[in-house]
Parts: sequence; structure tokens; C-alpha cells
Amino acid sequence: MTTNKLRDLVLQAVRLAISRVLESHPNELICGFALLTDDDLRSLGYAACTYEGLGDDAGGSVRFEPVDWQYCDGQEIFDEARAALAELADSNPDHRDHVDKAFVVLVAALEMAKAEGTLPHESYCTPISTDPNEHLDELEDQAILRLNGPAVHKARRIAIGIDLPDHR
Amino acid sequence: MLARLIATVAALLLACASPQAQAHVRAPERVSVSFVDLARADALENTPPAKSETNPKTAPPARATSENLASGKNAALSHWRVCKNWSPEPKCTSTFGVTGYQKEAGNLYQAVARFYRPGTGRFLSQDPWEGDVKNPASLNPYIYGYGNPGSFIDPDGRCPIPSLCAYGFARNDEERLGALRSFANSDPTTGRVVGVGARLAGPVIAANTARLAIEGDPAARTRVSEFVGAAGEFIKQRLTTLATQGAAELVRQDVVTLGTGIGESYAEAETAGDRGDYVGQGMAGFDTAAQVAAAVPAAGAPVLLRMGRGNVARVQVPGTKPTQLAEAPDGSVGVRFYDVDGEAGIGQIEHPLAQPSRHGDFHGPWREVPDDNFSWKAYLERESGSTAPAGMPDPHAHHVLQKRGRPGVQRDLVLEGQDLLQRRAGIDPVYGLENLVWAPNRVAGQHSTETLRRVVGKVRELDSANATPQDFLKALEVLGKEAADRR
Repeated sequence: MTTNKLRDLVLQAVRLAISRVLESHPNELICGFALLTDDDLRSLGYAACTYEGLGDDAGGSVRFEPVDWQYCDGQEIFDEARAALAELADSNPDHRDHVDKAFVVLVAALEMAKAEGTLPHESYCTPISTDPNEHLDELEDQAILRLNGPAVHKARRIAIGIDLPDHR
Repeated sequence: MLARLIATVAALLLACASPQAQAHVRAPERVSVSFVDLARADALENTPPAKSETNPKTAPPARATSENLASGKNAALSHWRVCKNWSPEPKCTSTFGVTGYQKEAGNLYQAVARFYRPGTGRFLSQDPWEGDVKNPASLNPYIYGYGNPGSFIDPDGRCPIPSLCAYGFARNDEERLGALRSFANSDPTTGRVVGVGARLAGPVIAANTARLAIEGDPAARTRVSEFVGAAGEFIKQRLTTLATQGAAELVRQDVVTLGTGIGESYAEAETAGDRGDYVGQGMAGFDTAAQVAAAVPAAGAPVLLRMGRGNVARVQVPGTKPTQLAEAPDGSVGVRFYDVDGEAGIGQIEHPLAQPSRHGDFHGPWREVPDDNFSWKAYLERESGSTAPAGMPDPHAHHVLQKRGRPGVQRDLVLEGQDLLQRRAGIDPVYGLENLVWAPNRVAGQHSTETLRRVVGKVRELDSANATPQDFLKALEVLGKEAADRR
């Protein structure tokens, strides 16, 4: 299993997942998409949200908290990619190395999904660990900046209480 | 005064003598606080001695003299008076106390599982470990280090262990540094500096004790052994230097080099030393303790030694009278105070043998801890002997009460729940198998804030109902099963 192969599998799964969400919720606009994994970077799934689905919460912290998003049907879409991810983990005795490399692959897949228009350009997207250690926190923070730009990165940090609003 | 100061510094140097200790000081990413401390060495050296308030309760007592000692009218400090009435302004700004804990809230020190109150030798809350009936001192849920801080430290507020064990078993540089700080200079009971006898005899005592605790961990055994070897050689060197070059210069250099590393305790000792009212206390042992004990009063200050019962008769301090306090019920506590004033009751171990509210399923502080290569999957497989159930979609090692939670509101909830699990049920919420199960990761609601609220709510409910540890365990089991079955 190569990282390129894994990236392609993840990208394909993202496409299918977006299709699934839009099929289930026609006429809604996706505003968030996240790849869900764990600290070991072995598991893989997704969660998505739409402006309509979030309703009043769209302006709050839930917008940036994928574990609270409701749209996540059809997780089996990610089974093949998940198996590939686990295989990659098993083949690398250096756990931290695997975590770092695999996380980059997930970021790359989301970046491609955005670039090709599968994910709306203005949507919030990132890979996350569902119960992150400090290292995964850092990786996620960097990924958010890369995938969403500094304005969204800042907005998210304010929304979840990491940073204070800028009152200037 | 100088002799006592030398004693203190020698103790500190002893602890910092090992190759490992040197390595820690050089490791910038791990010991940045230490570097800050060391950077303040000049400031410390140039700062004039702190002046105490004029309030009679905090003002320093009369200077100790040999006449006082000989007459039995001890105008200097007794152990008790030191605790109660005298707290000089520390000159050192280090936030690390004598125990190796870091000051956090007010004058409290964060001891991981609990808060520690300096100067009292007590934690603010009870030990999650219920103790061992064969060691009555361990049954006191509040006391620090079995009431024997000369030989024991408590790295995370859960279980006292011999100082050298703490070093050998430390999981990272930060913990090793904490152990060294504590070992170098610890007397949490008084908040003052431990006598030199403790520090010189310490390695021998602790190494013997350590042997019992390091079985099964060859790496720890090696580390302990190296440390003891280095410390022994170091003591020899320092004592030789002391004898040949004189004390003043040695002390001056040592203060500049290392003085700040041990934080307030050293600063207090220095202040006390300046006043000549230093009270030495140590876990005395063997002939070294006798020599030290004899040296301290000769310099004009009282001495209070703590020692094994067997040594009381052997150690004779001129002009003093040994007092052996009450025996423990089963006679197993071999540590008592030896009080030059003969004031019975000083430092007696308060020891409730029955603490019905205490319980626990404590794992001990030295479980394997994540390093860069730590994998929760591997950990759960190894510790539980199980693998992810076949057919479970997207399995992962799942913390029923999340181990950290997502940034934001989840973090506060997790901390609250973890505190309750730890305090009320003695469950280690991060590494304890009671809180770990195989469960699908990607299913809706598995890690949601709502689910977390429910878990923490359940723990709160049990806490309010004064539930037993078994109730907590049962609740975790039920919640764990829910998580495993969630689709």
C-alpha cells in the first residue's frame, strides 16, 4: 500500500460520501465535511453538515465541531480506505511516523476534493481525531489553516474558545 | 549556619550528580523551566535577604544560641513553631516546590491527582489509593510520603515511593527532574530543608528499597543502579572538596550553580541560615547521621531528626534528649521523631486506621505512559489480552469517558468527569482498563458532546449519591457496552 494509493481511495470515498449526503438532503448546501479518525490513524469515516441542517447553530461552535454533525450515513463507503489505512499502520513500526504521514494523506485528499469542486470552496473541511491527543490537536490545527485559510482558522478558534475575538 | 548550608547544598549536588541529571539539564525541550530557573541564579545571588513582617506571628524568633540549647530553654525554633509561626518571604521565584510539584493556585501545588499544601506535609484531598493495612502510615489519606518525606516522594499524589524508585521509574525528563528536585531537598512537613544526613544516607536506604520495587523492569533497575553509583562517587568528591578547600567557597559556587533549581525550599533555608535559626530534619541513618546531628547543634541551632527506631539509641546528639513517640498498632512503622526539646507529640503521625469512605482500585503511578510511539490499539490489546471484535465496523480503543475530548466545551466536561472517577472510584481515567473498550469510531454520536454530557452526568449522579467504586465500575461497563454496540 502506497500513500498515493491511499490518497486516491480516500478521495474516491469523499466523492461518494458527498453524493450520499446530497442525495439524502437535496436542496441543502454543504458547509462542512470532516474525515474522522483516531489517534492511531487506523480508523476512518466522515461527518458532514449543511447550512440548513445546522439551522441556528450555523453561526456557533457546532459549525466547527465535526463530532456533533449529524450527516454521516453510509460509513461503509470508507471501508476500503480504512482497510488501506490500517494496512499502512501495520506496515510501519514507527507509530508517530505513520500518524504524521497518514494525516498528510488525509489532508491531501481533502485538498484535492476541494480543488476539483467535490467540496464547495467555502465549506469547512479537515481531518480530525475524535478524541485527540496533543499531537493530533496540532496536526488538526495546521490542517484547518491549510485547507480553509487563515480567516476560517481564526473564526474556528474563536468559536470554540481557544482565541478571544479581536475587538479592534 | 554555614555547616548547615553546606549540608543542604551537598544534598542538592548529590541529586544532580548523575549522568542522567546532567543530561536532563541539557535537554532544552524538556526542561525549559529549569533553564529559566537557572537563568535567575544571578538575580538570586544578588538579592538581599528577605525581610519578614513585623507581625509577631510571622516575625522570626530569637536567634538560637548554644546557651539556649544547654539550658534547655530553647529560644530557637522547635519543629512545631517553625510550622506555625514562621514563613519568610522566599527569595527564589521558582514555581517548583520541594516536592517537585509546580505551584498552581495560590499557595497550592499541583500534585497531578491532588493539590498539595506546602508547609503542612498534607494533601488537600484524600489519596485515591486506599493504602495497605500492613503499612499503617499508608492508610492516612492526606499525609505526604508516608509522613517520611526524607525517603519517599509522591510523584503524582497517588502513591508514595522511594525517591530513587521515582527516579528510576520516571517516564520522561520532566518527571525525572521532579524526582531529582524532590530527592535533592525535600521536607514537605516543615517546608524547610532536610538535613544532610538524610541526603547522604538516602541513596543507601532508597537503593535497598528500590530493589524491591524494580523487579520486572530491567531498564528501571539499570537507571537506578547508575544513579546510585554516580551519586555515591559524587558525595565522595564533594566531601573531599569540603575538607580540603573549605566550606565558604564551595557553598558559594554551589548556590550559584544549583541553588535555584530546588525552588522555595532552598531560598527559605538560606534565609533561615542567615538568621541562624535553621532547623535541620532528616531521615537519619547510621553513623553519618550521628556525625551530622552532632555538627548541627555545635553550630548553634536546634536539631530535630527523624529516624528509624533502631537508630535512636545509636545517635547521640550532645545536649539533647531523644524522644520516641507512640508505636504504630502493629509496630511496623519504624519512623519516629527525635526531638531535642523533648516535646512529645511533635510530628506524630496522625493515623486514622479506619476510613470508611476510602476505597479504590488504584493501579499505581508507574503504568506505561505514551511516548511518541504509543498506540492505544496496541496498549489495549496488550493490557486486556483482547483484540477488536470481528465484524465491528471501524473499531478503535475507545475511552468511555473520553481521555481528552475535542477542544472547547468537551475539555471541561472531560476534566470534571476524570476528576470524579479518579477521586471517587480510584479509576485511572486515561490508562485504566475500566474506561477503555473496543468500539466503532465513526458512528454518529460516539464522540458527540451530547454523549459526553451523558457520561459525565452519570458520573456526577453517582458522586452525588455517594456511590461505591463498584457502582462507578458498573456504570462504566454499561456505558462501554453502549459505545461498543452503537451503530
